[in-house]
Amino acid sequence: MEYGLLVLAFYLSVLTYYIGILLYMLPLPFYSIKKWAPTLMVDGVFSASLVFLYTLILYVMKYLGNVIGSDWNSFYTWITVKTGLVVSLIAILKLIGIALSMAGLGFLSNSLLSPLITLLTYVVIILLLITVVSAIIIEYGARLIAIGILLHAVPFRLTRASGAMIISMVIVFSIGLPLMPLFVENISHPISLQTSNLLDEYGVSYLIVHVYDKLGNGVPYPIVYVYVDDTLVARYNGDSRGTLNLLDPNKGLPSNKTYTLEVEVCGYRTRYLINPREDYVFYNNGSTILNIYLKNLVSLGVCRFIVVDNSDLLEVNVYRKSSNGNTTVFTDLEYIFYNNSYLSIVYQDSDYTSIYVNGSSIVHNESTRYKWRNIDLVKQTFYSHNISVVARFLVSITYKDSEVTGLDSLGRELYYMKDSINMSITEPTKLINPVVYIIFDLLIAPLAYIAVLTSSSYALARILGGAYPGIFYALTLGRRLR
Amino acid sequence: MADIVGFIQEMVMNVTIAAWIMFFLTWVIGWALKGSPIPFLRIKRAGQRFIEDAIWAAFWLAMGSTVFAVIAYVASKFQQPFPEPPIP
Repeated sequence: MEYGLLVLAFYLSVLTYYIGILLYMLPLPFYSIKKWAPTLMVDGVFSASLVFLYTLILYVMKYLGNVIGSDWNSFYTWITVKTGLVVSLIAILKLIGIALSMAGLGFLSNSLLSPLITLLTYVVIILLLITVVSAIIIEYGARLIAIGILLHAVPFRLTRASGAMIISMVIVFSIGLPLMPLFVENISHPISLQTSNLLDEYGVSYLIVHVYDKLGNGVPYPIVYVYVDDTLVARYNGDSRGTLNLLDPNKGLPSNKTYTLEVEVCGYRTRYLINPREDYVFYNNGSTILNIYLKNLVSLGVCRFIVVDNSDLLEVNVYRKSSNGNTTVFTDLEYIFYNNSYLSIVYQDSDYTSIYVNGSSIVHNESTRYKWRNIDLVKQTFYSHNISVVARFLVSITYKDSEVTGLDSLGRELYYMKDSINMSITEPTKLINPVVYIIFDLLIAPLAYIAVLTSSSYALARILGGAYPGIFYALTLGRRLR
Repeated sequence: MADIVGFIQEMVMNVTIAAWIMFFLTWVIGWALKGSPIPFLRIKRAGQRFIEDAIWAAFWLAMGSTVFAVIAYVASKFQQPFPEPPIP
C-alpha cells in the first residue's frame, strides 16, 4: 500500500517537474504563468526527495521518540487508568442521582449532578478520542505519511499544504503524544476523589425506616447502627415514634448488597441482616420504606419495654390510664416459654412499678440497674426455669407525665453518604472540586498539549510545504494558487 | 494504483515530448522575433528572452532524469530508495 502510494507520489513529482519545464518554455509573454515554472520544478524535486526520504522520516520519528522517551505502553496505561477513574465517578454520580430521584429529590440530581455527569462525559469523550487518534497514528502512521507525500507531490500545489500538514502531524504526534501524561502530570493537581469503594459496591438508597415492636407500635428513640463487613458505616437516631427519616442526601442506606443492621433500644440491642432487594418496600409514589419489627420486644414507653426470648406470646393487652399528671401503663401478657428462655422488663428508675407473675408478686428474678444515655434504668429478668411454662405477667408502670421527655441526646449520628462514603450533596464544593480537577487534568491540560502539538505540526508543515497556509484552510481546501 | 501510475507515466512522456516541441517552437519564435526587421525593441527583447528561457528549459529537460537520479542516489546514501528514476 505505502509502496504504491510512494511510486505514485514519485511520478507525480516528476510530472510536476516537467510541467514546470513546459511552462518555462512557453513562447508566450504571460509572465504570471511563467512565474510558476521554477516553483513547480523546485516542488517536483522537493517532493521526489521526500519520497526517497520516506524510510528516513520513519526512522527519524522512531529515533527521536526513543531519545525523548516516548512510550506508547505507559501512555495507554495512563489513559486507561484515567478513563476508568472518570467512568467510575460518572457511575457513582449516576447512582446517587438515581437514589435521589427515587427519594423524590430529583431536583437535586437535575440541578447539580446532571451538569457534572455531562462534563465528565465530555472528558471521557476527549480521552477516548485521544486514544483513537493515537491508535490511528500507531497503526496507520506510515501510511498517513505516504498519503501526505502523495498529496505533497500533486502538481500546482493543489494539495501540497494539506500533505505537508498530514506528514508533520503524524511526525509530531507520534513523537509527542506519548509524552502527554508527563506534561499533564507535571502541570496538574493530583486527583483525589477520596470516595471509598463502598458506594460502588453497596450503592445508596434514601428511605424512611420504621422500627416497630411485636405489637406493631413504633418503638421510641431507637438507634440504628449499620455495619458493612463488621465496619460501622452509619448510625442514625430515631424519633419518639420510632421513625428514622434518611431522605437527607447526606444520609441514606446501602442499596445493593446485604448488610447488618443493629437496633438499640435503651441498651437492648438486636441485629438483623437486611437484604435491600427483599426488605425495602418501594411505593408507587417513589418513596422507599424499611420496616423493622423487633419481634422480641413489647414497647411500653420511652425506655420502658418488655423483652422475651424463645417464647410465644399467647395473649397481650396494653392500655394506658392518665390521672393527676401521672400515666400508668397496664400490661397483661401471657407467654409460653420454651427451654432456657427469659423475660426482661426494663423501666426507668424513677417509675413506680408492680409486677405480678401468675398472680404472685414474689417471684425469683434478677434485677440490675444501669445507666443509658443519662437515664437510670432498671432491668428485671425472669428466667423460665423459675416460673411455669405458661406464665401470665401483669405489669403496671406509673410515671409522671412531666418526666415524659424525649431523650436529650442519643449521641452523634454517623451519616452513610457524608461520613462513610465522603460524598456530600449538600456541600456542592466537595462534589464539584474533584470534577473540576478532573476537567482540568483530563480535558483542559490534554487539549492544551494537543494545541502545542498542533502548532508544532503547523510550524513543521510550513517547513515542508514551504508556504504559509492558514491551518484550517490548508487542512480543508489546500493551498490556493498564487 | 498501477493504472494511475501508468497514466501519470504517460502524461510525463507526453509532457516531455510537448516540451521538446515547445522548445523548438519557442526557439524559432524567439529568433524570429529577435531577428525581425522591426524597430520595436520590446518585441526584440521578448524574443531574446524566449530564446534564453527555451535554452535553459531545454537544459533542465535534458537534465531531468539526471536530477531525479541524483536525488535517488543522495537519498540512497541514507536509505534504500523505493522507485527507480524514470527515463523520459
